[in-house]
Amino acid sequence: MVKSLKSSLVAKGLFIMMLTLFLFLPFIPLVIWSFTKQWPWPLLLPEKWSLDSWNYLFSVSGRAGEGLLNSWIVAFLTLIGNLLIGIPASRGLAQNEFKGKRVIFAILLAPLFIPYTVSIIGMHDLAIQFDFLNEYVSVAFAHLLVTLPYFIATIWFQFRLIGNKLQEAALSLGASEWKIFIWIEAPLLIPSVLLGSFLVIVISFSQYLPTWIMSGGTLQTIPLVIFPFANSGNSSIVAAYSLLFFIPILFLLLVYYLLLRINSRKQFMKRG
Amino acid sequence: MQLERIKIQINQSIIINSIDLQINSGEIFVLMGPSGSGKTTLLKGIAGLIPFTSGKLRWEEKHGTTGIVFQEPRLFPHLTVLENIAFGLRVKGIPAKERRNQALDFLKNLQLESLESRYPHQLSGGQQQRVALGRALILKPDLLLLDEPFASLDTSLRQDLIEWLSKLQRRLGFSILWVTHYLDEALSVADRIGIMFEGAIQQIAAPAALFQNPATEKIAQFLSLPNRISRKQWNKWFQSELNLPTTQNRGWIDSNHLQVIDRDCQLRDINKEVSSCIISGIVTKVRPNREGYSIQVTSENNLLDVNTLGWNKIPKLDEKISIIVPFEKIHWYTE
Repeated sequence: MVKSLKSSLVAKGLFIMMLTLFLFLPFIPLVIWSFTKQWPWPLLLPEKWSLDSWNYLFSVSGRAGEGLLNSWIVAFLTLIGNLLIGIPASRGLAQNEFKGKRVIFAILLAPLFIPYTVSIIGMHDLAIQFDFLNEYVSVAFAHLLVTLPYFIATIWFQFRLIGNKLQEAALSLGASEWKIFIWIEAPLLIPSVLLGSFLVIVISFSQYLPTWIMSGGTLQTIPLVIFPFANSGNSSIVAAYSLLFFIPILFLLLVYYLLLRINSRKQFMKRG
Repeated sequence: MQLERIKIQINQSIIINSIDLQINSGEIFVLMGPSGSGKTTLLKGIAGLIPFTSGKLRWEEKHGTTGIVFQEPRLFPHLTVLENIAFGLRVKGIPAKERRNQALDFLKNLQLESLESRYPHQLSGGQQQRVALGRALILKPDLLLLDEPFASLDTSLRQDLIEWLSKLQRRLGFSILWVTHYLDEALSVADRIGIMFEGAIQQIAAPAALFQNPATEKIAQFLSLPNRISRKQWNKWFQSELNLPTTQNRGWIDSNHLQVIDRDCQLRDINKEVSSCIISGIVTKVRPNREGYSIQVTSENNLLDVNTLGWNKIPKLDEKISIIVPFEKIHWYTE
């Protein structure tokens, strides 16, 4: 009994170690690459170290700050669009039965299934039509199309979990639809809205083609700044940009867990 | 409250078909019926959660109010006990301090003092259901609608809560339309019982009258009345044409009123009683109960349930026995 417990603990430890290595191993060469210009095979470590890539990143021509700011603005606008469209759409799909429901659901989730090239060609046509729009807005619109299925799937699932039993109870106590949403559904939605928002921002951060097509390559978000270096094989600068790109994601992850913790302090999620 | 020809249709299918029902002030009306008979739909219709397709709901006064409690407590998981109870007051726009005072005061009625800051998941099933009742009752509804509110609780807790709610109802004086499928629950609280089948109320009667005169065989079957035998068979057993109205073509008798007799010793004496008959049959099933044994006897292709008193004499399977049936204990009804 004790032996089997010990071996199960060892197996668990091994699994966690393997998983940690799997997640963190790619970062080790990235960090090394960002501090050197040359790292020829089969050397275990580079012979020369340098801060040139990091210096370039924060120089005027490096445009890292501009890239980050633009990425944040686009991600924020994309998130607003997701919240405005995604929450009512998810609610309608989760709690109501109507004709054509499956078709609407399929259309909303279509970007998940339609080949990326088809979407991009469609977006190119859209970019020409929406040329009059501010480039932040038009890029955010393209990101909205890409991120909306993920957001809707997350929120829809939570609405399905909430069901309409609480809604009925609140309705029987005289609450209006709006009060039900604000007082009952919205607080219960917080964990999934946080998760959905996190996904939306991360996905928006990593979009290259939709951003390039909608802005004609003029709006420099992080992926657009990185791409020419990746194309020219400059591993050191690409590594530095990638690490910089990872910082806001790490920050978001921390914010997500912090907000989740604050929200779960009320413990309503742990229903006995 | 009075319902007049209420009809509810959902997706082309008629769930409630022309129901007329009056619930008097301070009355507990119990609605019973098999699953899918439309009880919950009717309750939701009265509560305004489902629209009536046709018909009218009238109140004795200008406009009455309802509160509904469902089978599951449906408490708002992110709100405390106090916030849950005060939810209806919040909807009404009553200021925070006042609704808090009212809710705190009401907690005494619910016997939930000192639990006001707990969340639903920190309460037992019985406490949760009391909060759900409190949340509806604090709005002082004229009619409380209960949809099998204690069905998910264990028997002893269910009985305690029924007792508690009955007392509370007597004190506060509201009316109740109570849906349940537990016969004991219905009998312990009901002023009147309504039996519902296929979207229509088939019979309304006081509990005792319902058992004495079920309107149809279907109702008798639903009430699990034992020993429901056709009049023709009773005539045969009594060896005469029974003097009854022609419409009463079926009769049931309680298992406790059938008595197993010792053929050798008692047969001669008992035969003298004109108002009784003796049935011979074979024991086909024996089960012990609190007072003795429940036995099933087959006689002329009819199954009879008989309860014996005491455990000393154990009936044997396939044993031939005689049963005495007192005529005055048979309740007659129309099939």
